[in-house]
Amino acid sequence: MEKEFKALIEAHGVARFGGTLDGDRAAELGRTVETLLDATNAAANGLPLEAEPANFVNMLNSLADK
Amino acid sequence: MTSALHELSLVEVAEAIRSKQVSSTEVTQAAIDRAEKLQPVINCFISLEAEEALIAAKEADARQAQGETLGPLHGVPLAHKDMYFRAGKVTTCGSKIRKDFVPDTSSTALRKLHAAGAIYLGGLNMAEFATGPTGHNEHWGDCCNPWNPDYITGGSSSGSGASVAGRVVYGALGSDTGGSIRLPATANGVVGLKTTANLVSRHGLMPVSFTMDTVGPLTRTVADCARITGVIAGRDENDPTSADRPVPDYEATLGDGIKGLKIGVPRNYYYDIATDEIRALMDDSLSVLRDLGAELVQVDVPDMARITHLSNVTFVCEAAAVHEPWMRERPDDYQEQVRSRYEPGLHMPATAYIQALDARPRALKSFVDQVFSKVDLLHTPGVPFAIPSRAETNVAASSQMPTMVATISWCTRATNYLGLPALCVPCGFTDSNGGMPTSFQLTGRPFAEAALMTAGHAYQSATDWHKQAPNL
Repeated sequence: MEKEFKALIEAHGVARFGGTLDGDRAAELGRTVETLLDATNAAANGLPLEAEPANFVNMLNSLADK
Repeated sequence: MTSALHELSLVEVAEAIRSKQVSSTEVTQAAIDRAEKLQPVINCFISLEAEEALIAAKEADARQAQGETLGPLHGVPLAHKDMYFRAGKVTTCGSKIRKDFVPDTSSTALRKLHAAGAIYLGGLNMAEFATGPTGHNEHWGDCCNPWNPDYITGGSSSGSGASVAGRVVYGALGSDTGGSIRLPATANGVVGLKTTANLVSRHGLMPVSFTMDTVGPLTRTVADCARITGVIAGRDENDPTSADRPVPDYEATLGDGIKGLKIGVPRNYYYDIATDEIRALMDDSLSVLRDLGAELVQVDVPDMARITHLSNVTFVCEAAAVHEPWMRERPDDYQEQVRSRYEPGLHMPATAYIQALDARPRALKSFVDQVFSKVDLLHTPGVPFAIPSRAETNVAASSQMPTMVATISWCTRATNYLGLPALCVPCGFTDSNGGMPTSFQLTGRPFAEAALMTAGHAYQSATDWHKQAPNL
């Protein structure tokens, strides 16, 4: 895991990344990213991207009490 | 005047100044004296600007003597989370990286408070870059809870909560991106309002997660909250995202009562990790609201865990975008626990962020349709367990950190992704931690701040939790 993240960091062009990214930290970071990606995938299932997604600000206004 | 000056609420002291029972100079000097006395104990200030505040107070008194029309906050000393820019003045953002940062623009919220006559007392302690739910800060020292300094103030608006609870200032601005007003409100036993997304201009506010950041007050009473919110809310051409809606007179509707108001009690999610002690205090608060005429309705809420995950995706991506240059150039100048919150954002594919943004309006509509078709407001705990100590939450960037953040902000985090307003109101003390405060949280549909404050004010009219102050 540590080697993968170092390679990923270098690929992103971030030369230093929080000092030494030791195995535990890299593993934790990996778990966090994985969890977030899984959640996004779950959220996307059944909710296909809309061609013209509703504007969030307009949605707030439309849902306010009149 | 029978009460000590620091015991008055913001509305009371504003009236006392207006009616010349007391001068702004006296009030401000008393606040300075109390700030200096308590600073070694609670460390709520990053910068106390006593001299400038007294000059401003004297000018306020002079203008009043000349018969000038007074604003609703005339002569009242406030202090604010040190992330609101003031042109030409240092704004540290609670960080080492910005300890000498001098912005060239001023926050609209601060300008509005100034125009209303408020006195700026200083910049308040906060979690570094507004990232942290506890109030720990290695650069400026932890802010400590005035009820018991061994306990957290909550964050990230730690100094705002502590200074208001400590009766140092009459109100303070915080910011809320996942609970950063509501958590310190709960931990310190004060009122905290997370405003609807875009109700208050964010011009001149240090960004954290720029689509979820909100501006709001922490105050001693709901009436005080209504006063400040009425001043700061409204369209600002410097913030094109700010809502172009008339600002209600929040104070005028405070006394409307809650007879017939439907208050939702969630059957799922919010109490999943709540302790029996918190459940009991929430039940007590619901009994008060019911006795005031509200109807309590059990409701099911959508999948809040999923919404919280989407919020977390949004947060890490936006915060990483803000911090990437510093993370690259000055990583060691961050506290580890702060930097580690942003790091995942550097590894998230753009598609994940876009999916999270795309899901947002539908998640909002789903929540509002499911909950607010049945009830007017949703009642939940502010924090689902007794406020913890600074020692037990000092987990830095360890593997315990994500869990600690997630559990403390269990009831608050999703609200920002949804953009909804939420008000925390003190409702008692927990025995398990030696009598620290706690609060309930009311959430409403977009721009329902007036309804939230009417309900909160009704509760405070029937209880006296908000009148209790730490013995300092």
